[in-house]
Amino acid sequence: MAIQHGKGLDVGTCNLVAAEQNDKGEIELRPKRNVFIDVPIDAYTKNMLTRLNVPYVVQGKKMYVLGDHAFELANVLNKNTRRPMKDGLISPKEQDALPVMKLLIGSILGQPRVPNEVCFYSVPGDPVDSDLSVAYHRDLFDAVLKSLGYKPSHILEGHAVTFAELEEEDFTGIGVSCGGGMFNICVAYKSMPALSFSTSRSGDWVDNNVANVLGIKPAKAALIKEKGVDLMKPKTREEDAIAIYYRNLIKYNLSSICERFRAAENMPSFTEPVSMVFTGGTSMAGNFIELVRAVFKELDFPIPVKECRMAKDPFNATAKGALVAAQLETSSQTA
Amino acid sequence: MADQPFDVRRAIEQSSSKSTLQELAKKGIHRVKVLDEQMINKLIGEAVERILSTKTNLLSTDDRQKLIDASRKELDRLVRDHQSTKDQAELMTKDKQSLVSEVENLQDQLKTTRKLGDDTAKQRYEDGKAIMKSEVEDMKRKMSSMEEDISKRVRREVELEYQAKSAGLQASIEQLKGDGSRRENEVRDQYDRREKDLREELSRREQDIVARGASMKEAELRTTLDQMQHKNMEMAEKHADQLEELKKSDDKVLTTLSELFNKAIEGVNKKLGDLRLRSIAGVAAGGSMGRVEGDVDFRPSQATLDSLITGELESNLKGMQVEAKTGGKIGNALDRLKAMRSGGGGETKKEEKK
Ligand SMILES: Nc1ncnc2c1ncn2[C@@H]1O[C@H](COP(=O)(O)OP(=O)(O)OP(=O)(O)O)[C@@H](O)[C@H]1O
Ligand SMILES: [Mg+2]
Repeated sequence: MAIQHGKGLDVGTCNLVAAEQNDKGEIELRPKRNVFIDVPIDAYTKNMLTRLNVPYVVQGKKMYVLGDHAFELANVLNKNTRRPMKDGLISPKEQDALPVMKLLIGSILGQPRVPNEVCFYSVPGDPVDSDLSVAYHRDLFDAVLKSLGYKPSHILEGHAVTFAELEEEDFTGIGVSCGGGMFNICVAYKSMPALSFSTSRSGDWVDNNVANVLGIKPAKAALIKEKGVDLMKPKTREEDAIAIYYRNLIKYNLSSICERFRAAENMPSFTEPVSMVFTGGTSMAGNFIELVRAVFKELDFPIPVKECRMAKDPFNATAKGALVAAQLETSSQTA
Repeated sequence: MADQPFDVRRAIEQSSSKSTLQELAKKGIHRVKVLDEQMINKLIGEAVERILSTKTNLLSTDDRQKLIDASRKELDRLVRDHQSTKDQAELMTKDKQSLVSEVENLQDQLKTTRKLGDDTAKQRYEDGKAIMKSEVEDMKRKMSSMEEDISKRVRREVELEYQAKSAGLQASIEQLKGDGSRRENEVRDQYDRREKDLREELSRREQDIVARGASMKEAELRTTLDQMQHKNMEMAEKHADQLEELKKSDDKVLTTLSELFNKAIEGVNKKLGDLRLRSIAGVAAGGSMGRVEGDVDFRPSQATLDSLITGELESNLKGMQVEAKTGGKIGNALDRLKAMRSGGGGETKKEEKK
């Protein structure tokens, strides 16, 4: 089978995920946590880290441990991690983290297989509740991908979700990515994005609030949350806190979606009820979809929805959708 | 069995066969010994006695007693054991029952506590929500009034500063202007005075000459006049120089002024920038202030991009293999999309829009 060129990249507040198709027609996925943490800079530490297969990078007078190891280390040392992105975007304040992000992206994306291989990366929709500039963010990542030898292009995160998860419904429906920094929502009609936007309240928001009420570090709160919590039946104080904020989170986001839909002009009129499919790390908590359904029932949703369901592959949907977009672009170039 | 005496006769009857003398003779037995029943009884009795005596004689009387005692003890122990086991068993049954009821009790308690907890949590959640909501509203109000305050304040600060600066500037301009004109007037006065002096001198001398009549030579007169004129010229030149000087210093004043003005404007711009940043920060914190009309997106310059992207960092990451997971196939998604896009599937969107 001939290799389908083009790669997808999910540029997320918490996780970077690269996707490509191998010669067996399978999708290969490479995730990396988008965090790092300061460590003392000396030859001994460098050697030790290399021996332990822990990636580091030296930037100026500082040395950082990268990715998942940084997350683990932060929890062991009870320190805060450094996060180059916030609310789905790289902040101008953190722009010196860009070379480090370039390194991380290069390591999961690998070399382009042909010169100027197309690479689609995900960008958030316009935030309804903040005023950050997506243009600045795009400029930076265009430049990063170009310098790695790719031909960069971007796709809205919510749109990518519909590419990955709504094939059977003719790419018509609502894709929701529940990430670390934001909820990204896209209403697609026959594969075209009719409306897309984001809110800046998601997993990080839960972590920060839980950390606040329990007096722990947000990374610790994230760890407890990711170890698995049943949102419908919390068992400990920590889980109680997590469940409470989750309910609030879902309510906030579904209500925002309602409001935004009502305010939107040019919405396609759906003759048939559509599906609303949920993806992203934050949707992976136990009984998340049950909680969504419960909250959904209390709302007067402006679009007929036939079901709220989990994605087949919630963690990788964005990267997969971006990959599909890249392949589509590549084949239209060669056609 | 032990009570019935051993019936020797019956035993012999049962375990022997009867033969006639003839039959015995046929077998070649001609002589037989005869044991009578009594004798047999006696023999058996003796044998039993002997066995019994030998057996019981194995133990001395003492030993026998000991054995009996031991046996009794053992028996007692067994009885006791039995009793205690029985007790324990009973106890255990009792315990089990009480445990069961205790557990049930606890479960009941737990249920109540949980329900109570749920109710309280719910209540607390609702309370918290209500409080949060009002707090959020409050915050929002505060934020927006703060935003207004901040922008008003900063705007006022800017205005005041601008006014102060421009007032200062105006004053120094006025002062400089005043200085300039004073000096110009002074010079002009000096010149005027000198000229007047000279003219007076001239007319005085002319009158003198007229008075003296022809006593003064024409040539002499001319020389004096020349001298006077020369002096006049010098004065004029000096005057011009002074004016020139004055103009130069005016130019300098102008540059200083424009520098001052630029600085002031820069300050004002910075203040305005701050104001914008502060309003953006307010928005990021949950405020509702929209973007200012005509705001330009903050975009990185090419130089910034170059400085960020080019150059390699020291890292061990390049030497590491990043493991890939396989996550299924793209399936028909690509083909279907291609078909939809080329077959105009997507183009129907506009027609079906509201
Ligand atoms: N099993 C889990 N249960 C609950 N939360 C989880 C789980 N696994 C990951 N998360 C949370 O999901 C979030 C990350 O999800 P994801 O990788 O989809 O976000 P992202 O794409 O990096 O962020 P964004 O799309 O907002 O920029 C984090 O908040 C993380 O703590
Ligand atoms: Mg994401």
